Amino acid sequence: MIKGIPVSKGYAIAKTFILNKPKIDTQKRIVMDPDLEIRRYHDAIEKTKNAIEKLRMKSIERFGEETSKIFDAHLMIAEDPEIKTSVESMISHEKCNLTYALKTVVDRFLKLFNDLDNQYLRERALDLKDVSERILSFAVGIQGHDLSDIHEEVILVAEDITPSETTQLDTRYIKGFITEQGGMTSHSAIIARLLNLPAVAGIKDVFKRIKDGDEIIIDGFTGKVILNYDEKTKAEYIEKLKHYHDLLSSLSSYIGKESTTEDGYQTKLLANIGSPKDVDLVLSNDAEGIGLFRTELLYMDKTQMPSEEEQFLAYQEVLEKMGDKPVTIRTLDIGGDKYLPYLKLEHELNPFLGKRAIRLSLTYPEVFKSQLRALMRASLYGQLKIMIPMISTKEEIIQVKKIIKSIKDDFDEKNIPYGTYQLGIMIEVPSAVMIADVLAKEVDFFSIGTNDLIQYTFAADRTHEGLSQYYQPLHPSILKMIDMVVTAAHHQKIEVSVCGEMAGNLLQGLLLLGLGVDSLSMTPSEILKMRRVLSINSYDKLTQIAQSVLKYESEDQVLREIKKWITLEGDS
Amino acid sequence: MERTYQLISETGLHARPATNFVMFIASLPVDVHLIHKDFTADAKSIMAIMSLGLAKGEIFKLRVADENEEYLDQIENYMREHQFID
Repeated sequence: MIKGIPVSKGYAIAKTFILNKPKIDTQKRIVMDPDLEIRRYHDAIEKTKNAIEKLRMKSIERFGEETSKIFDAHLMIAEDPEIKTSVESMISHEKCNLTYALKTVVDRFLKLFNDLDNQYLRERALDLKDVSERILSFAVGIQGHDLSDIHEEVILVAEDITPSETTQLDTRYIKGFITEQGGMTSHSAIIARLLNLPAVAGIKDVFKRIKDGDEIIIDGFTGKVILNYDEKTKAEYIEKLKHYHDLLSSLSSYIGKESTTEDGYQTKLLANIGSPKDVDLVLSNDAEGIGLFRTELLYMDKTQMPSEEEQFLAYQEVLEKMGDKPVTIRTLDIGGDKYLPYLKLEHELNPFLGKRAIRLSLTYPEVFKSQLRALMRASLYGQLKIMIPMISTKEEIIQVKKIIKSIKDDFDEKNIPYGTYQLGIMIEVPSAVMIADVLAKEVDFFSIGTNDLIQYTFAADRTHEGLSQYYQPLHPSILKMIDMVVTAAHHQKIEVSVCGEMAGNLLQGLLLLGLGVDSLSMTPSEILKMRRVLSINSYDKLTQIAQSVLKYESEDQVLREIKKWITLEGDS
Repeated sequence: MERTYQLISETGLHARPATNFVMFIASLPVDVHLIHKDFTADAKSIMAIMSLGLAKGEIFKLRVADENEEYLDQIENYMREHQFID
């Protein structure tokens, strides 16, 4: 058995299909007619551009626009003037063959990109490799694997699946893939999740360990790749696969439906995301909005602070794609277990009780302002809700509002346009729960972050392995707090959402609705499951259960009781 | 003609905004070159621009033919609007 990074859920049992890159001769040769070689080069570029354009259209149709933007970049690379002139001049000066010249020029750029040590450039290096291999293939008339030629069930094994290959994935035959490179955020992983194909990435020496035609099992939940197995294991996985498949197909009937209970109470099921790249997944799972866009990734993948402009573009993109559905964007929440390489923070004795989230934003107002400016400008493009994390006092929110006011004044003075938006806060610190009635007068919405609320209520570090028994989401202390927050919010006529792990757990999520929470925000892949169980439970009953468990004394007691009353029908 | 600027963009010139910048320049009907240290890059080439590794605070020049000054003004506006320069 080998273990990799699980990047897309599901199971597959099939023969492997090793995806080798076509071998193209790039040895240096002297040519008689360099001009002919240059014409062949132009011809290969034209063919490549046509091919990319076709792939782009296909990709838009299949995966959506966001995921297909990568092909715009590919078009630009295909006709890049610097590469073109370098290759042409090399061919005419050295009288050499085109494949050698192109390979040499491209390798020079790849080396430069890898030397600059920047995540964005490393991704662009992969794009350059993909595009140049395509030009080379056209130049010599060898076509790489066309995945649409595969007509038996296989699991692909590859270094990585290139963007162009992803558009050829026919899920009738391709049952999953394992790759040597890539991770959660690589293009191939995103596509796998969109197609519900199991995928495992980051398997070292994959070609040495797996041969073409081997029968293997992959488990996209755990990242396991099983090479040798007995009949019993196989039977087990066939059963798991069937069960998961049935679940997926029953869920697809909930696309386009409203999120309502058996007795007609309507709520909203929203998605948690970490990057604009996740938006197509949000749409394909039919979320009714975005309840939490974590902005940390925009900051963490970099060697420098992202500019206002860069953030603006990311927020604008998400807002535009979501149209009239709400998009809740949380301002920077670092500190605790997350840090930024370029922001030198003081060492904290108790990081989770230290300077994190809004405390950090108020310490570095320039960083905070640049994010707020980007958000306010982007609010012109959709239904924006700005959410401030870890508020624990009224003064903090007053200070935030002052900063926003100063930005508005500056915008007005400089005639910079901005739209309308709501301002809300996360309730995740017990002090905020206790003054929820005060805070509710200051903001437009609340969102309860249950993960932090639980750790702060039990005074138990959630990353501490020896303290996991204190993670008790259904403990009466937590339920009473949520009840308090909901009451305070509804008294001021503002809405409450929950965006912690509780919201995506079927049993806990339903109980939250019973407590009066207005919407739930979760991982996109959980939305349809929640919509299904919602439709087989009655809101009336959920409210009654919620009120009765508030009087209980322990989590065990609550859990026993709600399991009796809430129907999940075979789901766990 | 050449003009000299200082890059103020936090991310330097090797991220998504740079891609949009190059697309903008590529839409102009004239040749534009970007000069940084000893290197001159075709400003319509995303690969060349990115490989310069131009970082915040660094000085660079833009060059166009003398008769194309108006285009340099346009580029300057774009850069100011998108906070590449002051």
